Amino acid sequence: MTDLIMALGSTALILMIYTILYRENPAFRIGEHLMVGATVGHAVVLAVFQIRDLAFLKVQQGMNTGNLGQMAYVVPILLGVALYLQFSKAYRHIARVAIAFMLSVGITLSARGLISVNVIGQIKGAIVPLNNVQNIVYTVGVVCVLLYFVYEERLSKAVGPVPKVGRWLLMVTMGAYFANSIMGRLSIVIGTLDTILPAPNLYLIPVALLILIADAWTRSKKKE
Amino acid sequence: MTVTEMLGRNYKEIIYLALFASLVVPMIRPIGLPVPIDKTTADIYNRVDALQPGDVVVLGSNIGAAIYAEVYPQYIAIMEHVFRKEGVRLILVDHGTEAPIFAERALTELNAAGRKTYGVDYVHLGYIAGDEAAISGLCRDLHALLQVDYSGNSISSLSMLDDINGAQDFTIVIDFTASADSQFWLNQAYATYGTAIAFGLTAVKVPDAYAYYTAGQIFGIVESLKGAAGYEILIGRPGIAAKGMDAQSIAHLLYIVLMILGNLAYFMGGKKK
Repeated sequence: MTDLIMALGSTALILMIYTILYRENPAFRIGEHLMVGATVGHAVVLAVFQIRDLAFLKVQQGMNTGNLGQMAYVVPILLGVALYLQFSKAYRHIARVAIAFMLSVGITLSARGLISVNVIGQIKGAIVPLNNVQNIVYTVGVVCVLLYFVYEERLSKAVGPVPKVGRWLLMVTMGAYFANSIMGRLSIVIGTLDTILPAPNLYLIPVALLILIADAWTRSKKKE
Repeated sequence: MTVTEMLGRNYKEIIYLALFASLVVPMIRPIGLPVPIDKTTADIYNRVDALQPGDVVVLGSNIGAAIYAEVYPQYIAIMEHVFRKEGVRLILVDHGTEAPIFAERALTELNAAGRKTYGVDYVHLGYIAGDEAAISGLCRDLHALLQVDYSGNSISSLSMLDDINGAQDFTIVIDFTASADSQFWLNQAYATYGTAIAFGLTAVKVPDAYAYYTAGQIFGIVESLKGAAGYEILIGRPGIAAKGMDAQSIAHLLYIVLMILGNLAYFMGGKKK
């Protein structure tokens, strides 16, 4: 019984959200707000558990065992609390310390990996033996696109139409991006249909359609 | 009415209906169009298939309601494949707040509790806040980072994790996402420890990931529902992804026809619009 209620509930909510295709309406608003509310509520509960599991438990253990390393987790707790001082004009500067700390840790953590992966790794990956068509096309593509982004006038003139080829290749890439987005959006609809098409969920579709038709009819009568 | 006038009319509702029909009809009555299997998907399948007893697979997930339809079928197909490998240990870790719901759902759907022993064959660490810092901590020393798993069990009570400390002990990591956590795994596990990484991605994110695939930094990509369908066929367990491929192909054909008609209207209308 619970499964049936859950299935019908989720189908009803999906159909409520899809009514936006017809027009802005209260059913869409209810569905939208329920979705946002449930997501935020869930995230808040998880955040509380995270603070408990990743920080408070460790501080508690540290105090029991005298382990200073674990007791030091009180520092991120204080920095987290300090973030809320952003809302106070008098103590806003303290919040900046916490933000600066977060930024510096983030940048330091990612710097090494980013350079290794996105710079050195990509340069190494772009140097391929020209022993098959794929590698030749790949290398020509890299050179043309790189030359498109060289803004030095004499060099641009010297290489002739090569940057233009780079531009065309970039357009082909954009096309691939766009086609992928279409595929992604359709996949989402297919996933949704998989939820609403099996019986008894399916029977809610004509109900939703009847409500929409009734609304359209009432609106047309009012206009008259 | 002339052809130009016909093409120039607003057909929004008709396009919606045609798209709806092109998706619904093949889902109710599948045509059975062949599903091509991408090399990027086959690479992941081969890597998982070659796993040996004792190997450790980490499945990172940022699956939420927004990307569920695209990425969840990939997640469950690969999880099923890992479960079929005797003695391979599985760690589930979540990078999004909604991801634990889908991880638990996948475990229930695959009857994980009936097939494997929790804490011995697989563990679910749950959501770890902190983005890249969390992944960095997990790669360095997961025992220092975590006290409890998703269900509140003490990490020290999970025997499977006794000899697993961090990324140097992970055989492969596959991250399912539409966000930046795939980059975080590359930065923290691949760049620092040389751990083999692969991605299960939404279609929009796939072109970005190809740069890493061609450079040999990741060993495979499962591309949206299409990749999931390929994986389902490879493991012989057709699911929602394989079922949805007919609908996707027909809808793509509709898009192509609409684009041709749109261009006809544009050129025949004297490029006014």
